[in-house]
Amino acid sequence: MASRIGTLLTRIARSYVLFVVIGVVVGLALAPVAWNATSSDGTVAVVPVAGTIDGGTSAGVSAMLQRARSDPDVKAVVLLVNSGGGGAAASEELYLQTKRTSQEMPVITSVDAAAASGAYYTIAPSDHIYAKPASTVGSVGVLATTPQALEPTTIVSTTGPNKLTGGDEREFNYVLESLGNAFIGAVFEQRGSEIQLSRTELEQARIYSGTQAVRNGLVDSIGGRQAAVEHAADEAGLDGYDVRVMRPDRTVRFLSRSNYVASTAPNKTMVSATYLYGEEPSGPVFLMVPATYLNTANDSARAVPRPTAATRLSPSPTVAAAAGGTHVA
Amino acid sequence: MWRELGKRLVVLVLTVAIVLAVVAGGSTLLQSENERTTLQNPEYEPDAVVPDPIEATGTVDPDPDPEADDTGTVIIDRGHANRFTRSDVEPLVDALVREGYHVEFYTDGDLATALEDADAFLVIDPGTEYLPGDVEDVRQFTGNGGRLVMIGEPDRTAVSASIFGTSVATQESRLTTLASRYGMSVDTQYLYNQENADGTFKHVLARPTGGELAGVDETTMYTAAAVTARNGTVLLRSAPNTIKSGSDEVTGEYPVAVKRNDVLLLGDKTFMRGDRYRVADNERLIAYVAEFMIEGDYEAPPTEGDDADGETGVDDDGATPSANTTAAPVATET
Repeated sequence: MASRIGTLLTRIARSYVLFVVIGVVVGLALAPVAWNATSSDGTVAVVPVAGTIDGGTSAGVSAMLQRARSDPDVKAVVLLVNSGGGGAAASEELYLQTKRTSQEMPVITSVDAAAASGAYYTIAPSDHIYAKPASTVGSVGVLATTPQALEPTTIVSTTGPNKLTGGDEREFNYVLESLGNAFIGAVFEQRGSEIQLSRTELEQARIYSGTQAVRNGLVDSIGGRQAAVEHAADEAGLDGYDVRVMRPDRTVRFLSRSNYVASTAPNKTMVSATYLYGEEPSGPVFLMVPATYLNTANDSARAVPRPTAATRLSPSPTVAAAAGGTHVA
Repeated sequence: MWRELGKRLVVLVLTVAIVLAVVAGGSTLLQSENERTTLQNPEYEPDAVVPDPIEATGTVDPDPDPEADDTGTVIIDRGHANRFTRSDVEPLVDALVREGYHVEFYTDGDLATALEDADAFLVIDPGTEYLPGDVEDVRQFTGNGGRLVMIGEPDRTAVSASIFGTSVATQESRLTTLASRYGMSVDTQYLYNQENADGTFKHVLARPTGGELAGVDETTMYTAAAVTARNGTVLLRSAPNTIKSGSDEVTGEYPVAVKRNDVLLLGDKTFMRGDRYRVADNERLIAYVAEFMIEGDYEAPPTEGDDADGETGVDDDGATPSANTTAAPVATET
């Protein structure tokens, strides 16, 4: 009996069947890894640009774009934009970052509630811009508070006549115009072949709805986030891909209530318009936001005693519903 | 034994050095492959982005007709809530004073009496309309050789702060009743030009249309209104492609300075401001306004039969068929 069992074991051990079975079992165990390895050609990085564009936003988005560029897995970037703009220099920084990224990989933009002014500057170098019918796009221009004539005065002593104000009103307008020209020039450099508006028409700094923007070429087509992600993967030649939503590890501040409502940012707060100016502005503040955002009616300063202590709005059911409605997993 | 140990130490150090060199060299090579491409930004080329400011030089040198009086008086209206500062009129006042003229302000009282010894009357951006009696006084003045210069402004939004908070109000140049009696009117919309401007779109450029403004190539106006005069002469028109606010798709060359007989109407007061009067040829336009005033020569009519003389004056002026002055734009403005 024992010898028969031994013979059987020997035969099994010598046959190929056992190895085939073991091979199948091991192969199936490793299958998910192999599946993942072959089905995903790369990653589409989704970079949110939400809230008022200030130095912090600019640094956060720049860091995310730099991470995307240096990650060999990331083959395309989708910018998810919901912003009414912000500071001029911060917006220019984001423009340069987007431009650099788009030179290395496809950059597709999906506009949520708004991509106005500085936010439009940010997305101008994108390869394709999607917006929704209710998105607001445009407001290509710069605004700033005109310096008041303060000289001659003995209250402050200076070494030169323009030290106090930086220049008179007329000179200041030339400064502002050069900022505006840079903005307009950049938009035309990036989208000159698509834009149907003349330079002077764009310079009027109007706001357009998503559908209007498709007509005049500020936007390429109507679509949401999913369309943008698929387009990005397609542009990068990815048949299978992962989507990675990048998150800035910080609070997102909104100047406009509508943008706030539309945003899905985890830590969002509202700011007053004075937040942009700071408590004691030491020099001119150039803004790339639609001027309506600076309306006093829109200024939550009355509810917020100090601009630095921005209120955090408790999400009402309406807000939650709206936020949920715009959320795409 | 020490020698053997030394050899091994040398080998150790060399090995560390080689490893570090390989790592450092490798990382540099890798970096140069990835990141070191510089971003080209032709859109920020300074020559294309930075606008060239218009030159601001020159002095106001009026050259009045030799037959004009060497001395006289110009009255500036202060009695109709006029909005202007000393700085707004100083270059003009300075030019008049240098030509030997007195400058006085009319604040209240009988306007006819105030104008009795004057040669010219300057009305800048009044905040209240002229009452019929005042209009008649001015018409009597211009009908007898006096010169009238009216300077209007487009409607402006003024923000004022008080203890009750900030308020926004519209400021209007209330020139309608006075200007309409001369067949003239000032528009309420401001003009802008995105292609030909002094720095920003509201700072429009204006160019002379006839030979009247000798030596003027271009003037700048800082928020101007279009002006019209029935059967009058247009002295200055805004540069091509000027737009009137509210009708953004229509471009044109709008008159900003018009003249009719002894009356001059301008659509902007800021071109002669203390810090703007040298820009482009503004100083020559101011000289022209000064000459226009100096060349006025009012002679009061005989005192008897005031009414008849007043009417005669109006007829002499021949400027205003009163039935035709109620043109639609003028009527709606009131």
